Amino acid sequence: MKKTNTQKSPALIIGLFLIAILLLLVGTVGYARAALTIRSEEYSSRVEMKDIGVTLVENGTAVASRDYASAQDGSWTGNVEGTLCAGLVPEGEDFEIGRKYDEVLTVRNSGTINEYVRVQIFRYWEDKNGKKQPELDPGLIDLHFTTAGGWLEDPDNNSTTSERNVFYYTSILPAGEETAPLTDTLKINEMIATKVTETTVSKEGKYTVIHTTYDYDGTRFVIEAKVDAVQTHNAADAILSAWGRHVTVDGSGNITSLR
Amino acid sequence: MRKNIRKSHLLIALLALLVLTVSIGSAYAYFTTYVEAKGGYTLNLGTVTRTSEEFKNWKKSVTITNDKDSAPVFIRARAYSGSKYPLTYSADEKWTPGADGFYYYSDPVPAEGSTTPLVVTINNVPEKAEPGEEFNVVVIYESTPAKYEESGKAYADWSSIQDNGKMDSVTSEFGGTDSGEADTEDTEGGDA
Repeated sequence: MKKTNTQKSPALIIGLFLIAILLLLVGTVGYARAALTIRSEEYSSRVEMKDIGVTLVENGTAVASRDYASAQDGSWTGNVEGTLCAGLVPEGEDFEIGRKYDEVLTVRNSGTINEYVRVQIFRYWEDKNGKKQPELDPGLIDLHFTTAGGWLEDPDNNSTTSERNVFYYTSILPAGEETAPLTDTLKINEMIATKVTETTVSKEGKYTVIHTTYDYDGTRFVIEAKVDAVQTHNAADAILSAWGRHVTVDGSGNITSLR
Repeated sequence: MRKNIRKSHLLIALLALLVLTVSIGSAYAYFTTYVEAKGGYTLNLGTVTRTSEEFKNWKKSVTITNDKDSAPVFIRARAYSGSKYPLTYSADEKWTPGADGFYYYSDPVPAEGSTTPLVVTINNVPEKAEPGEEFNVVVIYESTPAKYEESGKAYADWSSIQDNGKMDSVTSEFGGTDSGEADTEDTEGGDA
């Protein structure tokens, strides 16, 4: 009995070992195939082709970027968190309610591989302590979107709210290229001057004094942009993995549907 | 035998770990990156304006100042007196008379800015009045926050006056100590 068991154990181990080797080979082959697919067109030209990068550009000036740098120890370069609206109003002037300011937002592919990009725009109001004021209307922050240039707004009602809009650039953004503008102007609706909480009229000696409290007095409007980029190879799977959205991509690489 | 079974289990576990590692590696093989930026401006809608008056030689010189941290405002002002003492106005080209009797200041007054003086002259003042005879000159000024067209051109919307500095600015008594002499008065207007 003992002899029989001793003979079966090595066979079982060898069998399992072979199955494991087979699984490893299948996995490795799959991975190798994926790697070959990724590099098939440009592999022979430049080694740096695997560097992904993205830059947010406001009125022609880069405000935030994050680029992979394989040439330098594989680290990321750039300033991930930038500032918007800094140069909107000339020095010494006040922000003028009702005036249209240039606010052209674009995305540049600052990497060395092609990519898809999406932008999430948030608009909201903060009090003087930086606390968000959800009761104030983000719709009065009139950031004008220009989707005609190839941007597709997410059709999912859960993605779009009065505070948040999500846009996908439907074309492949080639390395070194810039998207069409997503926005072109910014205006604070002059209606905010009519949002009055309280008006009191009082007599102070000989004088009549009117005190008016405005809902938006002392508040700060905020625009926030979050840009995401993902590789174009295995596009549908990559986008699903990175952004959680199912897309259909045509033969030219254009995103034709989104759900 | 137990030792062999333990070894085989260990081997199987190691191989399974290797297989899993390879699979996880391929699931995270997508290249992605991201950036974000935000910014904005604080809006000041409230206003506090103040008037400064200088009275000399039967002339009242009125200047209106916008306080620090106030929004830019447009200003208009006028004065009232009895028909016995008609008023005439004089000022630079920035003050222009309107059909409603107000004088309108053409430029929006920024925070900490002031208008040029609007001078109101009281006429027909007798050289020698009866003791106890008095007259009132009432100056009214109003302000409204500047609004802007999309081009950036400022305009005044007088249908939404928010700051009303209506006041009895002068009560002068003939024979009193301030008749025709220098007199300065500061008045705070409305505050939003």
